[in-house]
Amino acid sequence: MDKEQHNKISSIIAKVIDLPFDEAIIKIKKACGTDEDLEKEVLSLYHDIHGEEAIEKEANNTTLKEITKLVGRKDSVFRTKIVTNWTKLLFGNKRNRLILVILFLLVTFGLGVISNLYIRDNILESEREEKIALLNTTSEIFKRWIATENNKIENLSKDSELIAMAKAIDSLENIDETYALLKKSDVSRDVTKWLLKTAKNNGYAIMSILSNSSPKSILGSGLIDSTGISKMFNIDLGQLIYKDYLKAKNGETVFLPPINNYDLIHNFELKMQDETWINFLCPIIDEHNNVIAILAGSNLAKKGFSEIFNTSKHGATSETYAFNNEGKMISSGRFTEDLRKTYLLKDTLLETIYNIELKDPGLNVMHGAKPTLSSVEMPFTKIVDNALNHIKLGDSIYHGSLMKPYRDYRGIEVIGAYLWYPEHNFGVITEEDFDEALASLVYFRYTFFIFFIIILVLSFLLFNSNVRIARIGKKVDDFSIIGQYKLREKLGEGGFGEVFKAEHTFLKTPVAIKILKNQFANTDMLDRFEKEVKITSSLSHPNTIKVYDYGTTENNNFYYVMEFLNGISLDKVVNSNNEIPLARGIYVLYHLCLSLKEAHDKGFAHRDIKPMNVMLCNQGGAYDVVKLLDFGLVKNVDASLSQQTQINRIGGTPMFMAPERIRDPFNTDLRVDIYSIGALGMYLFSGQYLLELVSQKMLTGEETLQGDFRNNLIERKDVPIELSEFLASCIRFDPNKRPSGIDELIVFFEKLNQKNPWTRKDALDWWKNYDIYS
Amino acid sequence: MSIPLFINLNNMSKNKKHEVTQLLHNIGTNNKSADLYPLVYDNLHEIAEKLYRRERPGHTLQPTILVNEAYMSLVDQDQIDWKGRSHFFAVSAQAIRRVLVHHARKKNAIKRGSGEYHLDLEEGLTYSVEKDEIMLSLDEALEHLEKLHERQAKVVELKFFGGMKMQEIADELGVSIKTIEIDWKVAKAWLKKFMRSDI
Repeated sequence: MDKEQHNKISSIIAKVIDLPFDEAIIKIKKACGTDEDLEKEVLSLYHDIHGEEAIEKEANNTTLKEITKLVGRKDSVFRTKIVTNWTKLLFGNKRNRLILVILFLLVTFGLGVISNLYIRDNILESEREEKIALLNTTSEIFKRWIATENNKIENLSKDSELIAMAKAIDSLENIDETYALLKKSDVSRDVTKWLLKTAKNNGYAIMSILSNSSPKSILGSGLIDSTGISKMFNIDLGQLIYKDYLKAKNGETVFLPPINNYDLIHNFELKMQDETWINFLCPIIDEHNNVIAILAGSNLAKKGFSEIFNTSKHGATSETYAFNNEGKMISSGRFTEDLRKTYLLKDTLLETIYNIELKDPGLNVMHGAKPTLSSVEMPFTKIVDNALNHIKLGDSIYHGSLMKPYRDYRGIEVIGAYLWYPEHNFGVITEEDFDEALASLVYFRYTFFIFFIIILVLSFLLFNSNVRIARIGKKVDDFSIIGQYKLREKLGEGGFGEVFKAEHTFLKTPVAIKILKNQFANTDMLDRFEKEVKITSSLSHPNTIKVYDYGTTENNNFYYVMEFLNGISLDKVVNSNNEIPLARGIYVLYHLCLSLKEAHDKGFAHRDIKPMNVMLCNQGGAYDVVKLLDFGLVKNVDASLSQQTQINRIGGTPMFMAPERIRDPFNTDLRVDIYSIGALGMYLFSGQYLLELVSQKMLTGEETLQGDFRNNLIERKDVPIELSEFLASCIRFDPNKRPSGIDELIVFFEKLNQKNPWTRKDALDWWKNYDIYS
Repeated sequence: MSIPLFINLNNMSKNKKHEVTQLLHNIGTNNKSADLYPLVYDNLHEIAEKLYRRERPGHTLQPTILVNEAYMSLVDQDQIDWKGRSHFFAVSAQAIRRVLVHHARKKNAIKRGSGEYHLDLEEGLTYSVEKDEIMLSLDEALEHLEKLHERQAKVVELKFFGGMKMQEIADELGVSIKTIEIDWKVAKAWLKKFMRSDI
């Protein structure tokens, strides 16, 4: 391997380094031609470089942080990639975000519905338990009551006086089946008296003696006529109670659940009130253990019996009532008053007992509505139907509950439980309006509804903030975007701001963006910048850098977009080890003046001409294209202050600044630029700042700055005296003594330029040594 | 005795500071690298020796940190511009390379080629005692590269030992940054390849 080959390798790699991998390989092969050794060598190095670049790209992301600081969004957290990716996936696009929010709401709603059902089930279950407990309690009270009442009547039936009278009745009965004898005998009056007295003493409305041979009531304490005997003498009992009668006849004490007069007595002829009775039948037994008669004690059902069930009212709608095997209500309901206003109780005096059929009217009738079906056609309410069905089946199931809402006799949705007493042939139902039972559920539903609304609102906010997160997420990705441009890399940093290379988002044209560091304290400043940028962008001379665009970043930093220049600053050219050729220096000065002319013609001074602001560029093969940068921009910001900090430092701007501008930063006299051109020229040909030149002169014995000291500042022998004299005239402290205008400079430099031409070849030679691989 | 010595040293460093600064200041007009180099070398050698004395296994030192330390102690920064600064670093890069190589060579000249190691040129190298031999082989590789392509070898020296930025190297060598970037990439790849085959 030798030098030549290594150079070849280097330049081949330089040509392909920015290309995509595949293209690069092809190009390398093409460039190497038949030289296999070269190709092998180039490829081996290229592979290594390519591999490293992939890694570097990753690392590059960190440098972007710097940019962020300047561009703004410094709050954006640099999250790990994973988090970012997730966030992006979830919140990144609007659709995903919406889906997420909707999903969240659905899940919340679903949870609400499920817990609603769960709570409902729980409530209903406890309702069921409560109802059953209530029925059990009621039933216990009822059993005790029955036991007491049975006991009472059994004791009465053992009364010897009664037994004696019963014997007499029995014997008379045996003689005369028509009871005519009995009616005439004193026994009947005695018995009636006893019955009246005993009924009164023992709290019976009526007491009667029933025959032991056939279901008849022989004597009673009710409706006593003038003969001293009840009008209800020798009357047949209704069929409905035959079974109970037979039980009593067989020596059992029997309780008869409520029964209406009309059913109690067969072929009832007497005018009696529509009343419902409960009856206790107790056999009267003689010493031979024969049933000689039956003692009956009767009471209105609405009294003691009903009260047992009415004790268990609670809440606003819970109702407990007894019903018989005909599906009739046989105790007083709690809604009697309300029911009297409906068709259910036609007469305002009617009791619910025995008059309410427990049938489903199909609709709520409590507010005057009338069912379409007649009561015969109506089905029993579900719970009654249920109870009666079991009885019909004879499956010994005597209790049940319905927690699925069903319509009761009022047509209102209720839940309920029942208990049947097979030994007494009636049952008890306890019901509660479904709405009341689930009142607490309604509270839950309200709570949930409010909760859900809050969640909805929060979701909306979340959705919005997600948008913001997503936006930040985007920023994390695209924070290097300013306007239409994507920041690429930092080119440099100055006192006022930083310069980045960037490219147009769509066109991919490279540009340079200068972002100013200082945030704007007031809009005045912003207005001035805007004005200046506008003027600058109106300059179109090829030696003036083009300004394309301007604006403010999110951080309120002002920025402007310029033409991207591939070149070297004049400062660096001068500082390189070789002194600048005379022709090149003149060439640069000449072109600077051309650039300035356009601005000066518009009455606009550059005000900050210095080597740093001049670039020599390679523009598409045109070498040493002079570009003047930073026209009039950002100079006014505290020039006096930056003066003080920079005045003592070598390399600061003031070295090229006209003295009158140092005194008055807002001086806009065009002649400040003429001074700067002069100072710049001095610098080009001496490599030193004016201040240094002056101080050197002072050190070497010059005592004053009078006379022609200016003309002797440049020591280079190749610089013609007319040039150094002209430059010296440009840096006169008195603006009036300087050349009158830019045109004068142009004429002068043009002439010199023609005399000392800087040819394309000269430029090319220099660039070959500077930008070696281009 | 130690106190006057200390004062003496202090004075000495002050004088040196002025001298170095002056030299850097005049770089533009005539090249004084030859005068500057011994001053910088001595200082770096001194700093490095101080560290070597406390040397223990796993002990690391970064050449760029040494160079920066030298810059602090030798240069009056207020008196210097970018040109002088970058030149100082360029000279220092050369000097620190010599200091480290000298030390490594002295220590384990015999222990060579013992096993594989990974050299990350990008890191600016965290130099540790164990890496003495890397230093030697890198130095050797650089010497080879110098013969092939002087500027590329220089770029590596400035970047690796001087910790200089691309732009600074470009300015120092008077070429475009693009040139430096390609030099660096090619040189890096070449060095890796060379050192792999050399072991």
